[in-house]
Amino acid sequence: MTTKKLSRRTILRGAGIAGAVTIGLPLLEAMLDDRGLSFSKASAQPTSARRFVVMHWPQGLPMGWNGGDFFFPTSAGSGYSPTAALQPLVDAGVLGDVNVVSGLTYERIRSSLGDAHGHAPAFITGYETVNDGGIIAQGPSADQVAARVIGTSTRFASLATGLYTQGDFGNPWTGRGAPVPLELSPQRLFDRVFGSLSLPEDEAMLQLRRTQSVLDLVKDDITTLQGNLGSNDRGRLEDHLTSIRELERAVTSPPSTECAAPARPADVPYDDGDATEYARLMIDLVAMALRCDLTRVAFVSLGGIWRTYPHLGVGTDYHNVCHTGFNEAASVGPRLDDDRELAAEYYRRIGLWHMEQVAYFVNALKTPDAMGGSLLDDMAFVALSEFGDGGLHHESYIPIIAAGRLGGMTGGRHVVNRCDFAEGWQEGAFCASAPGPANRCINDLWQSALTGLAALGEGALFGDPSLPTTTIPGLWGA
Amino acid sequence: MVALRFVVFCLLAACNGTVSEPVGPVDSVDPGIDPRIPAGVPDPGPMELRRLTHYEYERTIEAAFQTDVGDLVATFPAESARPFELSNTYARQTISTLQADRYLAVARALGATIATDTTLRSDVLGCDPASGDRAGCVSAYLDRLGRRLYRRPLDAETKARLGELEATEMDAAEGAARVVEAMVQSPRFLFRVEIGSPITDRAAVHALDGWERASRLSFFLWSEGPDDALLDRAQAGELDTSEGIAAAARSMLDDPRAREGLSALVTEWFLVDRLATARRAVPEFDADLRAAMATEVRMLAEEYMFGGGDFLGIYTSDHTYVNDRLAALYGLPAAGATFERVVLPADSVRGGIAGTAAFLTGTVRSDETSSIIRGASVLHALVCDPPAPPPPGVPMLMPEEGRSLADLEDAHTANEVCASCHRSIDPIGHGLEMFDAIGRLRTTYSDGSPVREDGLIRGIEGEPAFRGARELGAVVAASDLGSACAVKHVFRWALGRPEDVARYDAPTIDGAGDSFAGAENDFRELVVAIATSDAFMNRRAPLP
Repeated sequence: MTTKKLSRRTILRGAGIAGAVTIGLPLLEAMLDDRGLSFSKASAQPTSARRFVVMHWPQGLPMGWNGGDFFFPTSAGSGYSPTAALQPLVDAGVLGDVNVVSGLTYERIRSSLGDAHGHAPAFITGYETVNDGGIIAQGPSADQVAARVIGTSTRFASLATGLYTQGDFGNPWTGRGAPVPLELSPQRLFDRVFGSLSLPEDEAMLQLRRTQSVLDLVKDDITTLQGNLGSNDRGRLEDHLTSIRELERAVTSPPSTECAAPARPADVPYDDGDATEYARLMIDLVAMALRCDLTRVAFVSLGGIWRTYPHLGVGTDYHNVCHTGFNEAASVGPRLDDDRELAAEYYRRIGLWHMEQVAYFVNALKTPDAMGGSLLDDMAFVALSEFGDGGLHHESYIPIIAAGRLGGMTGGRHVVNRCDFAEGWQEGAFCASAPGPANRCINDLWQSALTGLAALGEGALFGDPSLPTTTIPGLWGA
Repeated sequence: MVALRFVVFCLLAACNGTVSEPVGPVDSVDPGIDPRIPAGVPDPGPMELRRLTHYEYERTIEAAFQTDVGDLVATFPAESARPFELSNTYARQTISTLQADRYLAVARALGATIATDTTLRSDVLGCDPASGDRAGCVSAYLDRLGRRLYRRPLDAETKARLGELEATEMDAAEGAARVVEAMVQSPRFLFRVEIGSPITDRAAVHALDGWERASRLSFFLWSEGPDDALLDRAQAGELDTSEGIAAAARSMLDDPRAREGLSALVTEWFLVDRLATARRAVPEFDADLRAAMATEVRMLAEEYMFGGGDFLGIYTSDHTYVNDRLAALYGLPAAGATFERVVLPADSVRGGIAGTAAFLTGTVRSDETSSIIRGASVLHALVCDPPAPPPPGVPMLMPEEGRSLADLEDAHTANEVCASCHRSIDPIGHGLEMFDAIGRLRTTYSDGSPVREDGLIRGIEGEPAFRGARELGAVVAASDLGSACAVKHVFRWALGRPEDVARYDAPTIDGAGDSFAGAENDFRELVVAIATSDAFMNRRAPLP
């Protein structure tokens, strides 16, 4: 049997975007300048559109035993002295656009399983994870809650993207506890988000009509089949139907006239090289999707806990780096990274790289459009990790950057929440005297963002309703 | 202890320990006992709609359309099975929006091919609607392709709808493209629909029909949908009896597709799939070497699965298959570029599946070996006796200045809670410490201190000691656990779920184990035993 080979090229022909130009970085400028992208037209960016962006990096930051003063400032409010980890935000000129939020924890919803990473999804779902012989998160995650309300009028209800791996415990979760997979390839992200924009209009309309009729039949098929199945299988097909409906919305929306096609980016090698361009490409594409109002909810994970960072001089994997000094991933005998001082230095370098990407993202969102507005105006932006100190799997001391002028929020502040953590690190000692309830659950952060976004029903609480969830004063109008 | 929890708990997340009561918005994650089925009578166990795995999807498309869509399938989001779970575990299978988008991409590519490639179109459809009798050809190919892709005859309503879709195109070639696009995105293609029909003397148990059994057999043995010949068997009623199923399974096992299909099981079972994402700072660890590692396991497994001998020999084999790259890695006499069978030195610590570079690499997460991960991997993959998940309230040991890694063992054993599991896990890894993170032999660590070599399996009766992979394999093969673990892996592959021996799977597991032993551990007879089990031929009646 002769087998015909279908490549990505074929699929592009199938989708009618053969000959798309491949360009390198910087993508954003290329899109803006060379392609005449006209998102700056007033109509392209509805002024009242509320947006929500969550950025995740894995394994926290060095704090606690190897550097409590690395991230959290030691005074509250505005005028604090930026710490070492905040320097990239200073360098990018965005420190005044963001607030540092300290003192939050998800100790109360860490799983009773005691599982170091299995409980991590709680940081974004607000629920304890459960175990059915494997870990299952209880969703939905905060971004997905928002997408149900503020994502209904755009082509994509939300976009979930990341680098290298499926989030390393930082990914969105559906209401049924399934992970939302991340788009890892800039080229595929481009094809999915902007692909149809590069078609000539008549071809685009033809493809739209065809896809519509095919998906109509698929939806019919699902509902007919549901009538023959048991209740649990009907639920599984309901998920399929939801996905088809979202897909339909994405691929059959009429081509936007406000947002011309940007150039198709080159793909990136999935190796351990310098991921800076990779990260920027993904961030630029997400920012562009937001500007073009193709989505109002986005999730970006920097991923990569098993990779090395040779461009930072780190030749051992990030996981090892975090755990150095008490690295029981090792068993017996000397390890590569027995040098605790060196490992702490490595951890700081990787942490700074993560913070550089946070700064880049804030800057990309801050860039003014022709009308002088910016995406940050009506946005809640949260960058955080699932752990405080990754080496300790600490569900307290979560490093959080909050930005966006939603609700009139001002930046440049250190929002301190009272904490009563046992360890007595520098941040612990400092936040112990802050006002408000002690050991606020991280659910309060999401409650604040979702309240600012008007994405929660009257009186509704994010996450586990048995917790005394409240908003945090000073965040997004709360 | 802290980092230990990271590593071990991640790995052990999939083990079958306590089942927590779900709280919050997730519905029951454990279907458990079916109250409709009386206690003490056979229960096929839970079953839900199973989605084609990416591998099954790719092979099924390729077989039906003579078209390789591997490049496109490579862009699918990863299956979400947990560590040590097989990729076809249905509890993890969903279709996210991103996945739906990828299915659409393949559908469009196939549609474009069908619309433009006249020869392929005629081959796949059995006629060319774009030349000659369009209506006749459309009706014929709807039946033909429908049966092939939906794995049962099209019902009249579905056929009518597809016919309407076809007619939306002026051009018959484009009409065929739309039909193909709809079919490969249909839940009837993407999911394995099983309803069955009531069995007169059994409450809440349905017998699967011949079509459904053909699909089960085909995905189990070939990792792809049934071909026309197997569907013909179903249509002829040959799969209505266990004798008929056994005959079909035996002939399917003789087909080359069984070697490919079941090699996917082996790849996951022995952690060979981890090579794809393994990162090592060793220059030798390139794509060619990784491919060679995978090939070795595949050849070894083929010998023991299909060769008719004692399958448990896979744990102890005194020979293996190497090419030049592997021979160099293993320190064996130079070999050529093609694989050849070599007998290992009599005193070699290498031998059996646990001594393959693929397994030894898959049981490490980075450049450093870990007795914990190796130990836990052996417990999961080779003896199916995973350590229980840690109990609630495991103390978080804070790091202390001056605590050295060499103190680790003491830290585990000094703390009772940790020790209860780690005294079983760690010593297994110790017996494999003479293999580095890519499976090379070593005698010392990087600082010149000697490696540990004293292994011990506490989970096996007599707590046998061992040194190296071959002795480990001998200990496993000699215990009941090695054989039972093979039975469990085949069961999981066939049913898409972990076994629950305590509640409902004992008859199937024990029965298959007896058949396996009775056939002198012929792997093919184990497959036939599972294929003719109650759990495989029947299912619980769908819940109302």
